[in-house]
Parts: sequence; structure tokens; C-alpha cells
Amino acid sequence: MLKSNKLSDKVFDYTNIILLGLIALTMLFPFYYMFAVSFATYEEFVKTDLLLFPKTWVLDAYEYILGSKEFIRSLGVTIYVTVVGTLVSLLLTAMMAYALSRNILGQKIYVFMVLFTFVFGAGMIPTYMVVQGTGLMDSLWALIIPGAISSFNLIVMREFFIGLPIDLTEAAIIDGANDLQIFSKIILPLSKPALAAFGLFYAVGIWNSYFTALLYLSDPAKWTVQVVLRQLVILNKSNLLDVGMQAGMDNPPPAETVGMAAILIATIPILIVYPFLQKHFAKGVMLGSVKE
Amino acid sequence: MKRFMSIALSSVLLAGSLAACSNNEKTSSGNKDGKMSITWFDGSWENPVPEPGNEAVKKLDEKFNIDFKPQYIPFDLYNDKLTVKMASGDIPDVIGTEGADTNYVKWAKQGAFLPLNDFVDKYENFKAIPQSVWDAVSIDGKIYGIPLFFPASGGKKPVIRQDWLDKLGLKMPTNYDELEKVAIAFATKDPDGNGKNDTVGLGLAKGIVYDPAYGAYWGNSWYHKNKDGQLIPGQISEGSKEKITALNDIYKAGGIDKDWAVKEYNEVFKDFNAGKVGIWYEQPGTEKGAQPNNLDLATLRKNAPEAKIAAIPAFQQPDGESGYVFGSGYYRIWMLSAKLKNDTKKVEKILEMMDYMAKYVPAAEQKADNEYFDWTMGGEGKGYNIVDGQTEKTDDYSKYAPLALFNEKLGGFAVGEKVMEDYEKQSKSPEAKEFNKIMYGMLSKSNFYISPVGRIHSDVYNNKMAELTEYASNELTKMIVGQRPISDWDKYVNEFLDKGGKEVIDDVNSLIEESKIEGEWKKAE
Repeated sequence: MLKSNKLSDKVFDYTNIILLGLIALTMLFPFYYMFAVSFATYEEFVKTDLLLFPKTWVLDAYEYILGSKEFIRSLGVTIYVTVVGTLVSLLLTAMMAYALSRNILGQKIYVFMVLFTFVFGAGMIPTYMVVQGTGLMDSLWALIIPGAISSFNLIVMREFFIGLPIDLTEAAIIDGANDLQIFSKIILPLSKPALAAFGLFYAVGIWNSYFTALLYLSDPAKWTVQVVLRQLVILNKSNLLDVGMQAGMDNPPPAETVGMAAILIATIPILIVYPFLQKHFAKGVMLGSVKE
Repeated sequence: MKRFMSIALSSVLLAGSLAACSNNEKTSSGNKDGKMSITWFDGSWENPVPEPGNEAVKKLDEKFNIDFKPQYIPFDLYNDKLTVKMASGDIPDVIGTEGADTNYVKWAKQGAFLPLNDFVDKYENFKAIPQSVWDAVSIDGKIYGIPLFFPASGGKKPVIRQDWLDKLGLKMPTNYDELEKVAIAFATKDPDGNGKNDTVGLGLAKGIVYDPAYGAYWGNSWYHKNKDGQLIPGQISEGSKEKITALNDIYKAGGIDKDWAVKEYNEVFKDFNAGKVGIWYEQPGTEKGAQPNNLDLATLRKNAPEAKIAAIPAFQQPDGESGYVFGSGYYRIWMLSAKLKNDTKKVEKILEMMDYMAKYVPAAEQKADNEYFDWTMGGEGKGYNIVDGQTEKTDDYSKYAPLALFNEKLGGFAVGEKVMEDYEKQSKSPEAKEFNKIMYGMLSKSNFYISPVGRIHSDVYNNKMAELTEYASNELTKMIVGQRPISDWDKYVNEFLDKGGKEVIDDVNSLIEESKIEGEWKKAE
């Protein structure tokens, strides 16, 4: 950044820092609040309007969550689906993007078909029928395959591959490399920043998958952490207007302190992925922005 | 472009033929190892949700010699998945629903469900189902589902802080004037004695929940008649006007939370448990009165050790009656797929199972040596334990107990409303026992109004009433907070009628007349 000693510049800088700092705080605050509540006793939470610092710190909520087999199991399912899903998505997206970045037969048609799904989706029920018809129902692959390639990511990655110098490929061909070798030995290593960025997009997307899990998986043993989390946090209440509101069934979730602890535990794993990918991520955004 | 079109078309055709293939394969599902397979899709209140293939399913397989394939979704998410399943034609043998709602009527009329009229009188527990409940699940005289018992006099009822009444020297309110005085005193005279002005007289939440109607006359059920003798919805009745006027007075005097119109009702539960609310709601039920996130006497007493609650009896109405509104008397319905039309054996097997699971075991007979009870609850030590002569479900209840796959067993039609006595005995915590005793004490002495509207199915009502209810709730909210004067009442009624209220009233009344049912009072015994 350019340094300047002019007063007006300093004022501008400090105003910026304070303002952006405040905005950042509003985003961090919910996390802090959840943190504080998750360690408080339920009585104190109920009594205090805005609980910022519990008088007594207890681990009850965490004991409850970590003692819940369903929650731990669903966390395992989510980690598994996220790791496998991200790898599958990245591989398929990179392969297709690379192929479409070269002059192959029918390239335009394929690109058009991808763009078409970018604008028009089939909707929930036809997708459900496809998943059912292809036998993916009740399999964890139902969370991975139908959304394996995001057309947006594909298009952006294709642009990235087009930006790589063609000379590299040509040199490799002269050295006797085949297409697969060029892709795996030259293109992919050069694309690490892009892969990291898209990997993160995919991972977060799959980590948060909730409705697809509910829709395609009938065995609660396969439910992802988001579905189980919802049960812990949101009041399972009747859909019936009159019965539900005035006279029906509801199944209250455990105390809010437990809900907050559950949210934190379900968020932390995906959150700690960020710092590791951060440096690639920043590079990926910069890449190709300046022509040399 | 031409070439592109041909490729696109051929790929569509290919996809279509593939789909057709896989569809054909699936229709041959049926008997595996000579056993009848029964698919079952329902919502669940169990936590954790029962898993297919657990111990409970195996017990059912053995007992009924079937291959039971159930699937459960937490009830608040259930409708989303059910809609997709029904729309894609993936219809299981048995489908559950919470009530005879718009979708139930729509799907029944489209022929998705099997009429059960020829079957139901063969089963002992179904015989006890009262006509008003059969009416609720029937369309044009055809029974499309098996209703499950729910006490009609249960449901959310008002409770008041008796210790606050005593402290301020006030009496239990018996009409809206007295209610006003009590609610305002609760908010302004520091009933909790902490020297701070931090109490609320009457708990109220967004959308006027729970409706502070202390009797059928003031509620939203169809009780009043217009000058043509037609029944009208409560929202536009004289009773409603009286209630809204009183609420407006209380609001102006500070007796209702200033933020109530944007507050969710679970927030009010939180405030009540913190000892800040004087009048609020809860329903009787096992463990009710001592659950976090609901009314929780245990937490309340930690914050206000002297807290005592009482149930508010229904107010005396201008027409001489008094009583709360009777609920529908059922909760949840099981429908059978119309695809079973020619499979009478399977239909009978399914109904036999439902009938078997519907039998209620009174609290006094809930013992391990009661074979039926022990089996349905998953076996002593696995699905339940007997502690101090009382049944306690284990954490693994939904894994072992066949009953967890069917219903909450809130009682049975054969036992009827008396089941509420058992809630006290079945509750574990002393606070829940105390709460249920208080509630049953009030309810067993109360009269109840049975509305005829729950017993008919009007398409006009189903299409329009949700929107009208929301409109009424918005306008009435404005009146309570003083944004719209109550002198606008007649104008509001006309707006309601113009927005489709008139058509709903006409249709509902002609259907009621056709089926020759009337609103009636069920007197306390």
C-alpha cells in the first residue's frame, strides 16, 4: 500500500479501519454469542436478556452433544461425503473444463449444453425422479453425483485453462506425452490455486447439503450433520395451522445452550479448512488478472 | 444448428428410454421370501428418528410375518418430502399425515388413497372412533384414512401466576374487564417484588399466538351466527371485537410486551420461565410443564422460587354458556395407497397391524408382566424401565419399541378424554405431575364446544381460509397496537367478507346444512 503523511489521508484510513472493523465485528458477534451461550447454564440463559459472559461456565451442552451418537455419526457422514464429494467434483469439473478448453469436435455444442443448465434447471420433482430412476436413492452418492459439476464452476475453470499458455501443451506433445499425461502432469499441477478455490466452493456446498439429504436418504443413519443439527436447534413443530398452534404436538429441542454448542461443533471443521486454503485462494483470485 | 438439434433430440430420447427401462423393473416389487412387504412413510416425533431395520422393525416382521419397510422424517420437515414423493408417483403402501389438510383432500379426490369403508368395522379399536372424527377424515362419505387418537379437550390452555394474584390481592379473572385489571396490575405493580418494572401481564406473540380467547365465544372457531343465521368465523364475530378491545386497553396500559407483534412464541415461553410473564399457555401431556423451550416449572422456580400456577377456567359467555373449544379429537391419519385396491390381503394385514398398535394400556396396567405392553414398548430394560412403579422410556426407546414406529400413544378412542388423568401418573418429574394435575382439574370441570366446521371438507375454505386468517390476524394486530382504530370494526368485517370471506361462509354453511350437523356443547360430567 502507498504511504502518505497527509492528514486527510490518515483520517480517511482510520475512518475506514474503524468502519470496516465494526462491520467485521457484527459478523463475528453471532459466533461469540453462540460461544458464550453454549457454556452457560440454561437458567442463566433464560434469565438474561443478552448473555455476553456467563457467570458460571459449564460443559453440560458439550457433554450432551458429544454423548449423542446420532450427532457424532452424522458428523462422520458429512466429513466423508464432503471429502469424497469434493474430490469427485473437482476431478470431473477439471476434466470436462480442460476438454472443453481445447478445440475438440462439438466443443461449442457441449459448452452450449452446459450453459443451458446454468440458466434453466429441471426442478425438484424431475430431479427426484432421475435420482430414483438411476438407483441412487438411499445412497450417499445421491448427495455427490447429481450436483457433481456446477456449471458455473465449470465455465470459470474452462476460462482458466484457456488462459494457460498453449506452448506448454505443445512442448509436452513433442516430448511424447498423451492427453492424459498432459492433463495430470502439466495442467493440474499448474492449476493448484484454481483447484483450491473451487475445492473450497464445492466443500462448503456439500458440507451444507441438507434438503437433498432429507429428500434422497430414507435411512436416518445416513443423514448429514445439517439435518441432525436442525432437529437440535429448531422446534420440531406441527405443520397444521389450528392443531399445531393451539392444540397440537410439538417436540421441543433440548435447551438453547445445547443448540448453540451443536452449531459450533458443526461449523468448526469446515471453518478450519479456510486458513489452509487461504494462500491458494488469494493466488487463485489474482491469477490471470494481470497480463505480462 | 441442425446437427445440434439432432444430437440434442437423440440424447433426450435416449434418456427417456433409459428411464422407462428402470421404471419397468421396479413394478415387480412384492413378496420377498414369500413374505408380504409393506412400505410405510410417515412423520415422527421420536428423537432419534427410528431407523429402518432396527430391533423394533424385526419384532414387527416376526409378529406379523411381513417384511416391514418403514421410513420416517421429523414432522416439521415431513410435508416437504411427502409432496415431492406424491408428485413423482413414488407412493408407499401407507402414508401418514398430521391432519385432513388441503393436500389430504386434494390427493384423496385425485384417487391416491384407498376408501376403507368396507374394512373398518371389523377392527375392535376402530369401532370406538366417534362419528365426528370419522366425518373429519371422510370425503363424500368415503373414509380415506385411519385417524389416531388425540384428546379433544387437550391443547394449549391459559395458565396464570397464582402467586402474583395472591401477592397483589387479586382474584382469578372471570371476564374481560377483570382480565384487563389483572393484566395491568401484573405489569405495573411489581408482582415479583424486585423493584424493577420488568414484568408483562399477558403473554402474547406474533400473529396473536396463543389466542387469548377464554371460551368459544371469543375464539376463532365458528360459533357466532350472522343475521341470516349463517355460522361465521370467529375472527369477525362480536366476541372477537370484545377481546380485541380488551387487548388494546391492556396494551395501552403497558400490560402486554411492547414488542409482542414481532416476537416468536418460543420467546414468550422463555420469558415465562424467567418469571416475567403473568398469563401464558401450555397443554397437558406426559412431561408437559417441565420441558425446556416449553413451559418449564422447574426453570421458573429456579428464577422465582415462590412461583405457583393455576389454570384459568373459561369465562361466562353472554349467551349463558361457558367453555373452551373442543379439538378435532384426532391427530395424525394413516392412508393406504389406492394401488392396493386388488390386494385385499395386504390391506387387511395393514389394518390388523394398525388396530393392534392402537390399543391403549392405562397407566395402572403398565407393567412388565403385561405382555402386550412389554412387547409394544420394546421390552423392559431395553425400550423402557419401570422406576418407582412408573414407565420410563430409555434413550434407545425408538430402536427397540415397535410402538415408536406407530404413534405417541396419547391414549385411545376406547378410553377417550379420561386418558388425561394418566398424564400425571406417566410424567417423571414432580413439576410435570403438578402441572398436569392442575390442568386436568380445570379441564375435567369445563364444558366444550364442538365446531361443525372440522367435520366437513370445503374446497373454498381450504383455498381461501389461510389467506383470510392471515389478513384478519394482521388487521387485528394493528387494532391491538392502536394503528387502526377499533371504530373501524365494521369496515374490517366488510373487507374480510369481500376478500372471499363471504364465499367461504356460504360454502361452509351449505355443506353443514347438507350433512345435517350442528355446533354442539359437550357438558362436563
